Amino acid sequence: MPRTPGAARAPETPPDTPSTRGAGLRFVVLFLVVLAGLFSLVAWQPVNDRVVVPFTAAIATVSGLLLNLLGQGVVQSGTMLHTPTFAVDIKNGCNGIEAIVIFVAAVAAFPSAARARFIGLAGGFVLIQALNLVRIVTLYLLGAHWPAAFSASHTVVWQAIIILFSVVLWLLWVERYARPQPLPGA
Amino acid sequence: MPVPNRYRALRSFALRLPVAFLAAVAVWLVLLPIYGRAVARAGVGMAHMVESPNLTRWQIGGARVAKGAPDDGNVLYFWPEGMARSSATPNVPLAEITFTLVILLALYFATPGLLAGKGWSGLAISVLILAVVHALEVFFRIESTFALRMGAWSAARYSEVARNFYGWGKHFVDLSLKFAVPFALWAYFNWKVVRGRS
Repeated sequence: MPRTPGAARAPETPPDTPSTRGAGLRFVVLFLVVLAGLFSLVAWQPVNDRVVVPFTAAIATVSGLLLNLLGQGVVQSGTMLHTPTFAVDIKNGCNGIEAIVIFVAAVAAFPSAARARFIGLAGGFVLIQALNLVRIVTLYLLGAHWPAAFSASHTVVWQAIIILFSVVLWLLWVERYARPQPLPGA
Repeated sequence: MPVPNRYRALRSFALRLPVAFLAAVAVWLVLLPIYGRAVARAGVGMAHMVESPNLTRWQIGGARVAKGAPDDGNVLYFWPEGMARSSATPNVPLAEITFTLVILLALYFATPGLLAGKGWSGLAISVLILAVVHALEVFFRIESTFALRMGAWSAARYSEVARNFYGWGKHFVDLSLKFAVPFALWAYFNWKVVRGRS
């Protein structure tokens, strides 16, 4: 069908062929391998002690600043934020590193140019950590003022939101940076 | 300025995701009693495969095992054969193990075509595979507790290699794999949508 000059090219969905399914399988296998490697790296005691724990303390510092801007009067001790009536300890699983590891593994496993990967990794780190700060502040406020909602929000709701956000972010990266772009005027 | 054509599908997906998430939570809550018990049973079965003789004793719910502990009927209690049950019996809420089913369901519910009949087989297979991962987490929770958290009993029964393995496995499944697998499964069974998304 002839295309009207200047019209945007219609999106193309590749057919479901063995080649397409093979590409999907390669992505998943590479994703899981990179994931296991990255997790082993951050779980390694020297890396945990010298990088993860100080990073988590920094997260606690920023979270504490935000909470005090909201008038909560929290005091930070290492990775803990506390007042006389309530305290939280930010541990692995709550410092955003696991979501970032998953995002990094997905970026690394998807075929793309080095520049695209760099943009994805840098942007993903910043945006996921920004959402994680929102999570920490929100959970603290729930725990301090609405304790009945804290457990479900902590265990289910926010964990799922962080991962789903990371998936959407990855899809945006795939669309914007990793896929071949339409030619101008095509 | 109109949204470029190639972002429309992604924007549509992102807009559907919150509703899909709520639907996924509802489905998970309905399935939790059955799904959680199936996962627990499979996880204990995995534990028995590596124990000789079978070591793990288990019970789901039941204030008799852990009097006073919060229990909504979806808590797995486990203890080694020969040890008395008490208020300190190790336990894990099955919701804590299985909630990543919400992530899988939300991604599928937000993907176009499911209600039209496409993707149900992929969803079914994905749920089965994720159930294996959840059972694996139950397995690692049990074995890592026995290997690392029972003092002299643990040291006498488990080698250093075994303790490191169960500790690493528990954290890997709990902190990474159970979150990553829903995405990986969805991406694989919807790869042509991911690759062709615009």
